[in-house]
Amino acid sequence: MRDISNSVSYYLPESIQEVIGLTKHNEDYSFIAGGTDIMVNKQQGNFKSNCLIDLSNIPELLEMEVEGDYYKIGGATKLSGIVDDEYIGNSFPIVKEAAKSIASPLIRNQASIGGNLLVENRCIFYNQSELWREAAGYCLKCGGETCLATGGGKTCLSKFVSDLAPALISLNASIVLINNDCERTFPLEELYTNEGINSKNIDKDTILKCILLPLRKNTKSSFKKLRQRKTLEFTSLTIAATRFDNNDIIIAISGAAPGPIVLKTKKGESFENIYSEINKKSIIINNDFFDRKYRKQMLKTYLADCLKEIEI
Amino acid sequence: MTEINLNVNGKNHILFANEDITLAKALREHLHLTGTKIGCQQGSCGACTVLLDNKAVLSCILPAIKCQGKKIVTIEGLSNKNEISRIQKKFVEKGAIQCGFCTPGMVLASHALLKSNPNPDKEEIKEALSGNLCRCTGYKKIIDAVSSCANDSEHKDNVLISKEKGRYKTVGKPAPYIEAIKKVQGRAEYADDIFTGNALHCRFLRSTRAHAVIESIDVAQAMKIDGVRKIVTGKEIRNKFGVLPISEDETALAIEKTRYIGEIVAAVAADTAEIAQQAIKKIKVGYKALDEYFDPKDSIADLGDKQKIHEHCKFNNNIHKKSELRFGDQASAYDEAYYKCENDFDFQGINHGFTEPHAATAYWDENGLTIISATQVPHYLHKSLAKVLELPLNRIRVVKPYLGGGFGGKSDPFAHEIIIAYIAKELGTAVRTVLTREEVFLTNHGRHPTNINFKLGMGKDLKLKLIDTDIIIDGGSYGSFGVVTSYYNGVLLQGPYKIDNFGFRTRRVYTNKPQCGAMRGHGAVNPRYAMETSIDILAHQAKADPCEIRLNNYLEENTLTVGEYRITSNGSVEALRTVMKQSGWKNKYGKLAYGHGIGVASGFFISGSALPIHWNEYPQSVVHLKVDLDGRVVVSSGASDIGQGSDTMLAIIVAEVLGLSSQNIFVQSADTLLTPIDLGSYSSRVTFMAGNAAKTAAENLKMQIADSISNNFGVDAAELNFEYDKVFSNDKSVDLSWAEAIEVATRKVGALTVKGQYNSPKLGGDFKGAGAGLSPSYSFGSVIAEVKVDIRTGFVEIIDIWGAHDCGLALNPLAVEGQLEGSWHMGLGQTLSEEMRYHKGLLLNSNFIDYKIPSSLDTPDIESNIIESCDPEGPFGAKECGEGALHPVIPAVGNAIFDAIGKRMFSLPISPDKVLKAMHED
Repeated sequence: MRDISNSVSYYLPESIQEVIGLTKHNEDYSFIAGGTDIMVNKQQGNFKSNCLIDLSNIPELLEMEVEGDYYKIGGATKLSGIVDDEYIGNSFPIVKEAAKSIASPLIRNQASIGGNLLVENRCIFYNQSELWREAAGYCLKCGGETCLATGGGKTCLSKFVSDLAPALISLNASIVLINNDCERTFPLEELYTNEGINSKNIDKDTILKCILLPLRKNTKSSFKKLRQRKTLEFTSLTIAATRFDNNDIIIAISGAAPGPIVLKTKKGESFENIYSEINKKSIIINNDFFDRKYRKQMLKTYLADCLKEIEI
Repeated sequence: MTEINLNVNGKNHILFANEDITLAKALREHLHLTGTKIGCQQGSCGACTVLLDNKAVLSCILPAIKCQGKKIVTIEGLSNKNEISRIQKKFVEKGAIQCGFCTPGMVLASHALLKSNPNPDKEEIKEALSGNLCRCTGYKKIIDAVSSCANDSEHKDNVLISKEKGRYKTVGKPAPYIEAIKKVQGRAEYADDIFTGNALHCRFLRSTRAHAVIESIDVAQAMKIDGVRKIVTGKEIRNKFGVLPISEDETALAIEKTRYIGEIVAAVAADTAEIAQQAIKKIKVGYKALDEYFDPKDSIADLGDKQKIHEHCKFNNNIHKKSELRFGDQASAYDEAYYKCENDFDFQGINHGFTEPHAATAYWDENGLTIISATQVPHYLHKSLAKVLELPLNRIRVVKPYLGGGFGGKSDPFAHEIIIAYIAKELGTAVRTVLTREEVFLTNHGRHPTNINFKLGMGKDLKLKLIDTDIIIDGGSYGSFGVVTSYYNGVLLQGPYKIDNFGFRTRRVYTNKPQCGAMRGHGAVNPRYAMETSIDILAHQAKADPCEIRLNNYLEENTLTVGEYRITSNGSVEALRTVMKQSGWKNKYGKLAYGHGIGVASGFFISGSALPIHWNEYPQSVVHLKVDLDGRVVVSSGASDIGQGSDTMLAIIVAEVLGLSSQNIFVQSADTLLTPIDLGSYSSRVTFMAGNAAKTAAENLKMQIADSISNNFGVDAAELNFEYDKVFSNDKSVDLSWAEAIEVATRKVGALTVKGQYNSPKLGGDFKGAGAGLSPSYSFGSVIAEVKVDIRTGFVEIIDIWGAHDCGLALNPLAVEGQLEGSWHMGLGQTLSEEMRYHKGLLLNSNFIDYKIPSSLDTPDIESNIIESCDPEGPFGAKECGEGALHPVIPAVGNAIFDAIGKRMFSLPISPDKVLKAMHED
């Protein structure tokens, strides 16, 4: 008996057209770019695909430039490329800060912005090896029947952990998706379902082509991230807030629900009202190494700090 | 399978491999470039760092196929045969290399930084290296190495030199490890770097049940897979083993039942690791659940009808060992104490976190069994293999290659070693294995989770009157070093202070979790926290300076402790006074603003155990020296260099006695066939014991050579000097080069072979338990820590650490500093962020993202001070420096937090949530 379940096809297309061709000729495929999450999830048995289509060599996905009223960032742009980009540093400092807060410098040399926006939701009861999950009894996110984090719940509440998403959403960013030659542009926040299992509104054959950051003057932004060490760790809570020149405010949060929490408000709104709205939207459970109570406390503390920094 | 074209270190390679093969695996297994290490397989330790088009990347999570058309540089490409690069040179010079397993990745990350930013400041260096974990150095010397490359001007040499430098030629001078160049080039071979021809790969089926009867194991489907050569289950290897002969309670594989999630139930040896892993998935195990014990309190209570974890427990509970010693009258002393406190403390389990996973290769040939394994104690593995496999010792050879960190976690004989040895013997072939990081965590043997009730009393005269403590340690599923740990939790509280009323009880219990054992500072770390915190509490009661209280209570030199430990040299006072002065203690203590604090603690530790684990009269250490016409003195020792620099220490001692330079010394160590038995690298015994044996051996050799020359030239042997690679008489009538001297000395007799040995003197009292913690010498030290607490979030920032440690005499100050800095760094991890966290017996954080070893960015400045009390029995006065320094750093931080916010931290790790909670309590 020969076991061939390990065999994987790996493609490195150089154009979007080539990607479309590959998606038509393969069934069980997945896109990969930096692969820093996929390779770990694969090793843990949480990612199974026999065909990987690598998007990192496609020039269209690597563009980073001003285009009309937007700054365009290609979906396969590496995080270190974002950290090092002077334009981003000057015009969107929280995007640089968010990118720099992700993982380690080594991972940032590999991981892409698209990968960070599409990063799989996490939970300490899910991001475990096959041995662990079998021993624990599989949770909802890996095909089981109950949530281990809540001890029996029927809804997966895994955490949304992208750090760039809150920063970009607070700057009112849009994304461009390509599906079969067809491009769609919509606000980044609409990419997310707020569900623990299928957490993204994106079809399997759809490519995140680029992020569009509107060029707005006189904005003021703040970014905060909770983690125990100053490196490596996924977020336990990330808050980004931006005040625009017309005093519109967008607050976006990850680590506190299965999707980003987004609140749009205006300067002048009271902190208590803002916090109350956000608190209502948060679903913080014990699925992180910081306990629920502490993360709830920090939600309020970090929010207050962010809003203070943007002078609402 | 596909063709992958890689350009590595300027050469093109074509390899055929699975399309998703990682670059790390391609480099190591196809191109045999083993300088690229695999530490975690998850991109979270940085050991696998390589350069891809000049950017530092993680090759363990990088598909090799993505790297086609790009330039890959591995550590092997950074230097040529004759010359190492500047950054490599600085790593060597600055002592930035200990075990060396993180070194290739660290060097490449540093190289990439310097290429893009030739003059980085300290923060930029810390940031650039924040994805590369080092468990040995505390990063200080690594950062120094990079800084010294950054600036063109000559960097200030910060390394301390022994005060005794004038007295000796080699001893007391900072020396890079003798193998440092090999390590910095990525040429040092660790266990998994040695590829024995046609070796089978062994993988393990591990239990998914914490406590369950094994009803059936069906391997039929697994055996059908092509390439599977053998499947082993527990019934085949029934003999028990354990590091302590008094507590052999483990089998290589679970037999009747499993006792923790992760225990080995079956093993598969196959042509490749992938095939073995596939076969593992096809094995079906039937379990029947038993009552599980995760909380030590459940294991202490009467179990009623429930099944015990081990039948050999004396009573109807899961208590493995109860240790108790009492001196004086603790109860009356507590009643009479003017200042007193009683508190409960709790501590989580800590893992060694060495960067090199366990790995081994075993093979069988005409000489019997040979096993090459990452072990701290070849001798114990040798004995265990003989017992379990029922082979005479002369059919087994254990070889330790370079070893990527141990910290106690590689001192036991391990199941995986026994299993591959068994398969090698059965099949007559070679078998290799390397554990995943998760398996390393499950194998554990780390620091015990501990609950301590601690009473301390002090008189109005500020003299400490009593200690009375009740301790429960959670041993997990098997014994390991636990009997010793249970004693060390208590007995090592009888220093560094004089206390007449002293009592402890420790109960070590079995639970259904991975077993605990020895880890740096063995057994004494958690009670030290309780003790030093309690002193701080009494200092506050008495409104006295906690440093002054310590100075008022230290044991003196040349005295006995309450339990009859013989204290000889003692640098306590000098150590504390040094850090008080350096930290500005008097101007800071009690005077800093709210949220900002400073704290102090002291500690002490053994320099090796005076009593051996195996009761026999063999010396603790034996060192052989051989010199032949080539003039090179071969130092042969069974001691394991695990990154702490013991090979270099032996070379320094022999060089000093014989007046030789390093070219005339060669160290051969840790091979049970070729080197004399040494009891191994644990309990901080090697410098004292193997060092003394080496010194005696060298003195014997010197005497032999001197006698020959004396006879040949008619000069008095006492007139002869051994210095500068020469032997000469005072009047220079004899003036021989070393080679000439050896030529004379070997005439008619051939190569000279001598030995030296170390036997501990008879020590201690004659009561039961008197032997625990006995050591020929003890180390002492203090740490002062300054912290800032963010009162809104509870985060503790450590501003600085000042540490001083009495190591007797620093044979190699560069290595001593490295040990001290590494100890303090490791202690800070346990203080603030490290813990093994469980959910129903399942370890939640068996990886380096969630098991939080401090990174370069999380590690504060550390100011190191070597205190030299010149021990009368240590080699040239030296004693331990590898473990004792760890003890005081944890309570120093806890006490600093109290100084900052007025709250006591009774639970480790001191995570921000606990600090915030404490602040919100009255």
